[in-house]
Amino acid sequence: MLRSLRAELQKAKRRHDLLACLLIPTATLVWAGYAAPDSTENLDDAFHALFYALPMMNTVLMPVGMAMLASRLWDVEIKGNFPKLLYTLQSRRSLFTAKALLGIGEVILITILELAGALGLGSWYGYQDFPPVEQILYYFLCTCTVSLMLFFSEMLLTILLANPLPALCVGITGALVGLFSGFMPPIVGYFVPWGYYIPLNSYILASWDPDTRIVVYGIRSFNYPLLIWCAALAIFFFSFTWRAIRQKEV
Amino acid sequence: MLYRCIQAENRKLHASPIWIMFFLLPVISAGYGTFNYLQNLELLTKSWYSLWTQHTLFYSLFFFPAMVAIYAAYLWRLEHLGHNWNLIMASPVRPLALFFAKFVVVIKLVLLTQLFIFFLYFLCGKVFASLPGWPPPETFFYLLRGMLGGLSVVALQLILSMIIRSFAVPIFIGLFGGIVGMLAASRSRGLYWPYALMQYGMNSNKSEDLLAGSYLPFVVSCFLWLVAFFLLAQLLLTHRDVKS
Repeated sequence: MLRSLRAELQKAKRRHDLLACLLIPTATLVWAGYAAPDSTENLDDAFHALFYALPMMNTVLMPVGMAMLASRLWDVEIKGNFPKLLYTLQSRRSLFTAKALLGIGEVILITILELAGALGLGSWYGYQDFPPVEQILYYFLCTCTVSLMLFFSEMLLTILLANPLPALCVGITGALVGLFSGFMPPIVGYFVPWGYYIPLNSYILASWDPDTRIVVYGIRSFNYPLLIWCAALAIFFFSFTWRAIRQKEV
Repeated sequence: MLYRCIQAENRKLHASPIWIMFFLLPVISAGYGTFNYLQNLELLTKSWYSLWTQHTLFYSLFFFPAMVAIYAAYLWRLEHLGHNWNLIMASPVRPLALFFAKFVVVIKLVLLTQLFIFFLYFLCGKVFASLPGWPPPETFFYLLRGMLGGLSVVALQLILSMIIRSFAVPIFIGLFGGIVGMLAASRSRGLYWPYALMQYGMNSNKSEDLLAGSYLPFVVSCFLWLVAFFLLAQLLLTHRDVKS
């Protein structure tokens, strides 16, 4: 298994996967850096504003980003017509485990970079309301879980159809639907997995006055039922991806 | 020879899954746009113009570059498989003709997408929003302007998909480019960033014309970016060795 993982890491190095992983949090932070309150604005609840906006950005970027990561992991085999070779030279379990571990590692890395970047950005601007540790952990857990669920769903598509195009199309369409679900009644968000970043978010817009343009943010309790449901979906896609690899004809 | 290249590129689109996205994205965008318009009638008071902004806002900000990126990456994908790069570079065709053929085919797809979006806009305006009369001619003009602004995005995405062998990475770069375009446009720096030109052209986020009185800089910017990308493509195709 370790040899398989090492092989995957070598492939990732040649594919410049680290750069691809850096691209996603960079995109989020460029956007967040522009949208985040700066030193000329009220900084008392600026972290609230930032963490309220980040899930919306993730909804646009992550479905496509996860499709990118998932398709790169498998596309390298399709291009070289390698699945036949790999299926006969190594156990399918070790092949899948190595790819899954690499994918999980990439998702965790992206989430850590994004979170660290957001906290760094706020500290740089001098935001006053540094989030409590439990909020940071909850945000990390939610972002990781939703991203992994998307990652394995896209990987399943790439493996089943032996083509990265459907996964990317689903990613873009999902990002669009997810973004729209954020502007619809809250119940809609529960039916759109690509946009789960938004209903899972604990930072909310408590009130907004269109005349004075004063925004008040708040914090709601953690949405554990949805988080558990999301984790169950991630496990479901993980199992089906493993099944797809196991049952693939050579 | 160019015509034969265009025919070859067109064949790649036969029975392609790209058509699913071609239909799906505009329909979703139109569905949400109409829903949002009907929910906010007290704020969105400029009838056809307001419906236009709702229909095209997210499409032109985020999803047009990503869609163009998919079209471009799909057309280059075959070249990146096996030893096809060697094959096409050894064929008796000027390298830029290959690039131009792909450009023409993506433009065709973009034009069809734009027309489909206008058709959905008209249909939703009449059937669901019950708007009076016909859509203002300006909105059709915005569509053509968006097309003009989109030319440089098409050329740039074709270059990215040509030099990056991965199918997916140029698509994410396209999405990222659209976001930077949105930020550039909001600071009135859109003419310096190709991805913002389409957003300017479509006039998606304001009822007033964003380009009123500044058509010349817009057209010059579109032209300059396009020429720059074609020169870059020519340079890359003639001076850079293929990696197959």
